[in-house]
Order: sequence, then structure tokens, then C-alpha cells
Amino acid sequence: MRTAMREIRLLAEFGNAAQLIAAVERLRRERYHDLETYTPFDIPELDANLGLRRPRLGWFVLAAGLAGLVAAYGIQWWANVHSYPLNVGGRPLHSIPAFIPATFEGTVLAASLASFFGALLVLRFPKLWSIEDEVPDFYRSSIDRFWLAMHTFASDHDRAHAEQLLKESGALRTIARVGTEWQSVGRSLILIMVLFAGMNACSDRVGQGFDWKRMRAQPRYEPFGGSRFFQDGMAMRTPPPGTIPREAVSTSFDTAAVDTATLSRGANRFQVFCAVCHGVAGNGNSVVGDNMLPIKPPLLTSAPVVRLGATQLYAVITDGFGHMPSYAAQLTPADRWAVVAYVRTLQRGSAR
Amino acid sequence: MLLDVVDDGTLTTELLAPNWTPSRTWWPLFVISGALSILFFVAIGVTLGRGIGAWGNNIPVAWAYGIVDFVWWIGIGHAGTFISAFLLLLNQRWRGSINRIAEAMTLFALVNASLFPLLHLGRPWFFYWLIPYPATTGVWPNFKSSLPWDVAAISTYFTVSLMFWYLGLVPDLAAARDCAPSLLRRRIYGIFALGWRGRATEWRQYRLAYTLLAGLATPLVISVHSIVSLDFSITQLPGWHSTIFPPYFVVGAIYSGFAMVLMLILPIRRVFGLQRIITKQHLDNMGKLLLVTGSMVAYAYVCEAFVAWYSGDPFERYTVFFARPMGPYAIVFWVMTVCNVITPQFFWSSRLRTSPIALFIAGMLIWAGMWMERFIIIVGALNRDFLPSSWHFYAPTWVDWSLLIGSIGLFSLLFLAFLRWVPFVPVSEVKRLRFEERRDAA
Repeated sequence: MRTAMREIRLLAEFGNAAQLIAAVERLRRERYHDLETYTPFDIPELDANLGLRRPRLGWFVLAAGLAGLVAAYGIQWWANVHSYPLNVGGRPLHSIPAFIPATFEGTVLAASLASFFGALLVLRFPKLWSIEDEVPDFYRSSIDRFWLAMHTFASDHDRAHAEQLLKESGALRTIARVGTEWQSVGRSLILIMVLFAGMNACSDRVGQGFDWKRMRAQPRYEPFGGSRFFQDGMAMRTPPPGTIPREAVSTSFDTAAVDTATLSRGANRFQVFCAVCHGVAGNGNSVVGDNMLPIKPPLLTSAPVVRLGATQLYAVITDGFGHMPSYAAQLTPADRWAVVAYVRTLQRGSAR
Repeated sequence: MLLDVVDDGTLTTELLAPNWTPSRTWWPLFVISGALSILFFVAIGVTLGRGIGAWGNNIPVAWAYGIVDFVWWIGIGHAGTFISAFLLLLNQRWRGSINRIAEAMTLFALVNASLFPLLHLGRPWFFYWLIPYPATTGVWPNFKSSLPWDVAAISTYFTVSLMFWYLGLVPDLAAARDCAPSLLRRRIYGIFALGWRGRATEWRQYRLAYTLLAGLATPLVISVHSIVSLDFSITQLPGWHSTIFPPYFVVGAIYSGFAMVLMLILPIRRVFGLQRIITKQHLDNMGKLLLVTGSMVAYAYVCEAFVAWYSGDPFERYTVFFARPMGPYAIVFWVMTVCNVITPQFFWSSRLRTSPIALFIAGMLIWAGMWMERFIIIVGALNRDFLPSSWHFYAPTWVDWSLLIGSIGLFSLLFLAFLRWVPFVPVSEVKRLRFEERRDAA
């Protein structure tokens, strides 16, 4: 806040609120400004004499409330009218009365969040340390003491006069000067430097400063890089003969191996997992497929799918494609091949 | 009354003392509510493990204890907001002594209230489907249904109540930080106090933000129970399909919450010796509020019956004039009527209004009576719908009872934790009241 980074040049402690109110009023009459008070309870009577400006939090809250209103209504419109239109007993998709409750709640939620976090932001909270804390017994400002801080004086004489006024108003004690918060920044800097010095000591080469390069420059080979260690001069080794990638265990498809058992297994799996969207005949004729937005599942019997290789079909089942999720968890590799074989059968059937 | 207190320092120390040393009654109560909370979690575990079949619900009574408890708890929460926000806006200074307790009640009641509809989903782990987010399935919640309205209302209500409660707490947490007997406590309270020092600038922002939140919470609290009532009134069922439901529910909610506030503040007042802070004046005001809201609830009952008769709808007439007073749950209906309609009428007498015993007993009766009201509205309407062939008598199972009793246990547990570790009387507001009383006396 205003006073946070500023030097406090006079601090006075009062035993009760009435004395503080009177003292502030008197200082104000004598044209002192830049005052701050610290009180255990709210004293709105002080505001006028402290010359505080009216906080502008209200406008921020209003703006947030309106934004919440637009967002809540917009989400409902987007969801129920645009992205996922659902016909509920023929009621209109854009149903204004039904959108009112959530819109209202969205407005209140956004405005309330703005009031709460706006106030924290303006006050620069959380702020766990402040210069006043260094004053002995200042903590009683939250219990039963009333403090007054002054920041600027035209001259030393001016300050002496203020001090006199405060004492006359019943101040229990006055404190001449409290340092700035920059002291604490300095203290933190020293602490950070000490920490760095400690890190320095961890280096192999004591006394040569911290070796920043060590984390980046690691002794290792880059892929496809050269090597002086191996005779062929390459860092990468050729795998032993006959090695295949883990994923490729069953990417081979032997058409000769397709028998009636495989096909009926494929038909069974297809009807359980694929037919819900692609249709029992693979022609896309299903309730789910018809309602799928924005893109419907492709016809398995259409020319582009027929042109796909068996391995490509296998890959689509394994990894998914577009809206279609992966079926690797539901179908074993053998089942996937069986499904591919069955899809081929469907394709041939429809071509005939 | 506050004039009797020697000074602000003593006042602060006295009010914060329960946070440093628990009273003798605290531990036994904590153990009992802990045991009941365990029962609650066991019942939740059974519900999750075995499914909703563990409850007594069955078609046509698809909604029973789960929804009764939900409506009851969320209604109880409403009085807390009413006391802290409505009365703040109306400049009712007396609210200062009890608003923190009432707000905490709101929060903990909401914790319970939000659990019941989640459990009632059947598959609570999919509750996030109710939240509009761009899912890979491309599916969105249907905002023409009342379920997403409930989600919006409850989540907003909980968030706003929490912020309102916490913001009000900050100056007192600062006082707790500065009074705390050990360094660890000073640190913990210090972190939660966010660095409050009581500057005039801080008080000014605080006052504005607090009033803004009160102004926002006031229409919010009305909207929340209105939305809850819409769950019922947008259906076709006789006994539910009625336009008087939103105001009827809001008044009933505040009424039940006042009953609960009384059940909380009267023992607290006695155990912690807060007769100077929560005065006879408070009891008198609370008694008057019970009388007013109770009479409004009675008026709503009469209106409901009148509308049922005036509608000319035979099903509506049957539900209100036959099924309720003479049907399978007639006993619940009559006990409810006595508890909710007759009890508050005793508080025309100012002697009873200031009697803690009378208020406590009335609070308990109304508290239970309002639960029965929800039971009558929900189960009483569902168990006899349009088709007599599908009529079904609903009986709760042990899981239903454990959820109800266990939720009271969880509430008590949270509330006891609050009494133990949070300044439960707004110390700074009480100091302000004392200042004003002294000034007015001078």
C-alpha cells in the first residue's frame, strides 16, 4: 500500500479510540497529511480526516459480474444450442428461461470472486512482514492499542511540533523513526548471497566460482553422432540380427491363416465394439453414428477405407483415429487382426 | 452490556481463550461426533460399494433420504447467510456477536448438503460430467435440466460463503496471531491473517469488500433455495408442481436454520460464559425471528392447501387432503405440523423469548420438524403418484439412517473444530460495539 515502501518518521501509540480520533482531527486541522492509523476495530470516523480516496473496487466487481453473466450464458448457449444440441421433448434449443438460474449464479460467483480477490490485490495481501512489526509492542494494534504513523514533514521543527501535538492529545509514547522496508530487502539479498556462497563450496573446483556450464555440458553421445570408442566411428549400435520393435510383435498378417474360426471371432468382436458406431454391416447405419457431430464415422465399405492396407486398419484399431479412440485395451492383437479380416469380408460382401 | 468489560485487552483475551485451551466438554463431544462421522463414512462406503440399492429408494420413490437430507442441510445453511448478510445490510448491529457462528454453520451445513446429491448420482466418481468443460466425448450438460442448476447454485453458494466467512475472519485472525501463546500458533494464525495490521486503508477496503459480498450473498441465498425448489416444481407430480415452491422453500430454509443457530449458540453461550456478548436481547430477537418465519411457513402451508383445492386437480387435492393427513405417513405429517406451526406461536410471550431452555427446545422441535416437512414433500408425494397400481411404501434402510445421523456427526465434528481453532465471536466487531456503547453512554 501507500505506506508500505515509505519511511515512517513518527509513530504514536494511543490507549483508546476517542483519543486517536481527536488526534487525527487535530493533525488534519494543522494541515498535516500522509497519516496512517492502525486500529483493532473499524473506525470509519477516521476516513474523512485521513483524506482517503473512495475505493474503486465496486467498478471492478461490476465488470466482473457482467463478465460472469456473459460467460455463464455463453457457455450454456454454446453447449446446448451450438455444440451439443439435444432435443428434449421438442423444447426450443435456445431456452432462455432455463438458462436464467445458471446465468444468475455465474454472475454472483464472478462478482464475489472479484470482491474478495480484488480487495486482497489492492491491499497487496498476503504480506506477512511489514516494517511496523519491528516496533516493540506494535502487535497490540490488533488487540487494544491505537497507533498513528506519519510519513512526511516539511522540517525537523515541523516534526517536533507534531510530536508535541500527539503528546498533548494523549499519546502514550511516540517513536521518532522506523526504517524502511528496503532494509528487509537488503537483508534478503545478503541471505541469498550467503546461500550462493554455500553452493559455490559444492563445486569441484573450489575458489573458481560457480560452474554454471556443468549442468549443460554433459559428457554423452548425441544420436547419430560420431564416436572414437567404437571401431566403426558411430555412437549408435546396430541391434542384434532378428530384433524387432516391441510394438511390431504382431504386425504381420498372413491371409492364408484366416479361417472360419478367426472370421467368426472377428464378427463377434466387431459386433461388440465396432458396430455401435460403424453399424452392424459396416455401413455407418447406427443411432450413435447418425447423431455423431460434427463428423460421422466413415463407411467401412467406402472406397477410401477399402484402399487402406490391412496394417493401416490394424493401426487405426490400435491407436484410434479422429473421434475414434484406441481399442488396444479392449482387443488383443489377435482379435484386432480378426476384426480386420472381418472388415475385409464386409467390404467384399458390399462390393459384390 | 459490553460496558461491564474492563477493557479491550481483557475482552480480546477472554474471547480468544477457548482457542488456546479447550473446555472440559470439548473432548467428549469431539469423540462422539468423531464416532458418528465414522458411521457416516462407513455408510458412504457401503453406498459406493453396493450402489444406491443399499438405500430404501425404489420406484416410484426414487428420491428419499438422500434428497430430504440435502434439502434440509442446505436450508439450514441459509439462516447463516441471512444473519450475516441480510442483517448487515439492514444495519442490525446485534448480529455482530453471533454472525461468525452462523456463517460457520452455513459452511459446514453446505459440506453435508453437497455430499448427498453426489452420492445420489449413483456413480459419484462421474460427478464432473455435470460441470461444463470441453470433453473429448463432445457431450455437454443439459442446462434445461435442474441438476446443472443445482451444481451452479451449490458451488457458488459454498464459494461465496467461504470467502465471506474468511474475509470477516481476517481481523480476528490477526488478533489471534498477536495473542497466541506459542510461536507455532503465532506463525499459523499469522499466515491465515494474510498480514492484516488494521491500517485505515485496510479497514476501508475490507468494509467495502465485505459489504459487497453481503450484497451479493443476499440475492444468492434466495436464489439457491429457489433453485432447489425448482427441482420439484418443474416436474408434473401432484404435491410438487406448484408455483409457490420457491418462496415457500426459502422461508422454510431460513426458519430451519434459525432453529439450528439457536441450538448452537445457546450451549456455546452457557459453556463459554458469553452472556455479556450474546445477551438476552439476542435471544429475544432470535425468538421474534422464529415467530415471524414460523408464521410465514404456516401461511405457506395454508396457501399450498388452498392452491391444491382451487386448482380443481383431483390428484393434487388427493395428495394434499387425503394422502398427507391420512396416508401412510400421516404420523410424520401431524408431528411436523405441531412442530412447525404450533411451536413458534409460543414466542408471542417475551418471557419465553428470553428463556434459553424454551428457545433450545423450540429449536430442536423445529429443526426436526423441518426435516419431516422435506420428508412429507418428497416421499409423501412420490409414494402415491397418478397410478394406484404403482403405489409403494417407502421404508429407509440402516444406510439411510446412518447417512442422516452420520451427517449430523460430521457437522458437529467440523463445528467443534471451528470452536477449538477459530475465533468464533467476531472480536473486532464486539470491540467496535463496546466503543459505540461507551460513546453513546457518555
